[in-house]
Amino acid sequence: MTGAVTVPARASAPPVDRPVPGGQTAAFGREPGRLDAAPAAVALEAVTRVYGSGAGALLAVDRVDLRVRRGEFLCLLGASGCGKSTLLSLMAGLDVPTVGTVRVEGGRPALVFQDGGLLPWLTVERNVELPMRLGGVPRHERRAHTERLLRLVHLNGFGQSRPHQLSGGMRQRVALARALAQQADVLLMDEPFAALDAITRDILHEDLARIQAAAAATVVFVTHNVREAVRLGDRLVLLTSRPGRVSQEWEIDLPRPRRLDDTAGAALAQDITDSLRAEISRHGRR
Amino acid sequence: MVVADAPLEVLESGLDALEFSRVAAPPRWRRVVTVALPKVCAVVVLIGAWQLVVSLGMKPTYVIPPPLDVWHDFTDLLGTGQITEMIWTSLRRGVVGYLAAIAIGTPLGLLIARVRFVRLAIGSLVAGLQTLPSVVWVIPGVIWFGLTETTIYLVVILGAVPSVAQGVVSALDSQPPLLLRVGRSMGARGVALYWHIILPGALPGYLAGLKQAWSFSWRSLMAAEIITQSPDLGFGLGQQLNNAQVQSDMTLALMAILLILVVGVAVDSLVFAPLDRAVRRRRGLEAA
Repeated sequence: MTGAVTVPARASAPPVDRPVPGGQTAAFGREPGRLDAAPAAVALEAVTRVYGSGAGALLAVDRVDLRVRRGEFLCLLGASGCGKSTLLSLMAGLDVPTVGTVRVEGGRPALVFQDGGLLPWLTVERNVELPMRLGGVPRHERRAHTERLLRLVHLNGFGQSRPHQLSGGMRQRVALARALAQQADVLLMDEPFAALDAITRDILHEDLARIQAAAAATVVFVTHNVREAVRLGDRLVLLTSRPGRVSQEWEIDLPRPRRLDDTAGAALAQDITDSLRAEISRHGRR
Repeated sequence: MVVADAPLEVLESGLDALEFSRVAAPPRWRRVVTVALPKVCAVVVLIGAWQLVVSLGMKPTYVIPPPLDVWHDFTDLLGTGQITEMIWTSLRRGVVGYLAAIAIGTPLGLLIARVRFVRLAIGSLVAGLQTLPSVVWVIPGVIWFGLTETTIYLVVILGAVPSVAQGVVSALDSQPPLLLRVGRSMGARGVALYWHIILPGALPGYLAGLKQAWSFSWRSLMAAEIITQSPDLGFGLGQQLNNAQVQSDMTLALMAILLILVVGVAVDSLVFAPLDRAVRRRRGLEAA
């Protein structure tokens, strides 16, 4: 039994240059209810992924239904073995579901990895440019857009640097700029800030919220940091482990801009942490 | 300037400034001195020890000639232009054979690395061939091609190809899977994936293979030149060494050996070392 898989192919025409508005940073708050009406940017229907076969088969993801609304910031949260990476690979089109369908709007989504995944032999500028080179964008357009993107992540002046010269936080911002260069409608982020120190992570949270608002991107953000999810997300989906299933969901309608130490956020985070702990305990000795 | 944005940008640039690594490289002359001085000392000590052994008179000078005699042999032959001719003859053979080995070994390595059947069929054979002393190829070479340059090239090429191929294989095998994922997630497929991700990623490993292949080429060339003697073959460094044996001229023999050593090391340190350093420094694999 095989499921139809629809990951729409990217149009071969070069991506349209989409200038990012720079002056609307104060308008972080979203009207509640607006997103509910929005069509799905990502839709997973009854998605199951099994690795291997026979007795050794591993059920990584089990009948997951997930709709990510256009412009939504969705956080996927779960302990180890919840199939987060599998789900991201499926959405990124790097893997196909055993059963079920995956639909992603606007072509191949851009992926940001935990340690950036910058190519060490390219300068910062060339790294950001690469998706556009692969997409056949003409040189002068690439240059101009790369400059804009580096300004957006506050890294203007570092274009000629090499990845190894940068701090972890700067590398993640380059990775973010590179992902935006892909001109995708959907941005997938795989624990992008997990390896950063607290100060840097806090600043990057603010950065990401600002950039997402400016680029009006749909974001699927995988993390196992509850506070981070509450700080960033419009909605949070908690996954079970082994196999990965959707366990619970929270709409996070806290006002923006948010801070990591907001009291309302802290209360919600505590609630979610309890659920996460209950899920982890399920796998413990009895 | 955006009001809400400004403090964040300032904050962020402050953090960046604190964390950006700006290690200034020491001035060039200083680096050259730090690198060269120990080597010069070693050479001076070695020559001093050599001279000491000679001065103690433990062996007659036709067994261990003094350093100055070797030097005079060298300057005499340099005056007649023979040194330049020898070096040129050997270098030309070495470089041509080496380039041919790269041209053969690179696609061979790609095939072994990428085609499972080929890897299973000849992968271990090619790895094993690296341990086969290439001097054995002189015999079939002479039988097939006689005392010609073709024989010499055969030995050089067969000596170096396994190194080149093995370098390609291990460079591709040690590719970090993350970068492949990065490339594929950006939509790179087929040729584009190779051009932008796989080949540049394999470059340091490939260079290491090429460096090793050069030393195999040079060794194989000397083995071939020492064994094959013919007026048609011209006069390379190896032939010079063989000549010294025929004349029982230890001074000449030592001079030839030292020349072979110096040329081999010179190519390595003038061509491969800077290349390797440049590649590694760009990628942050080496402290500046």
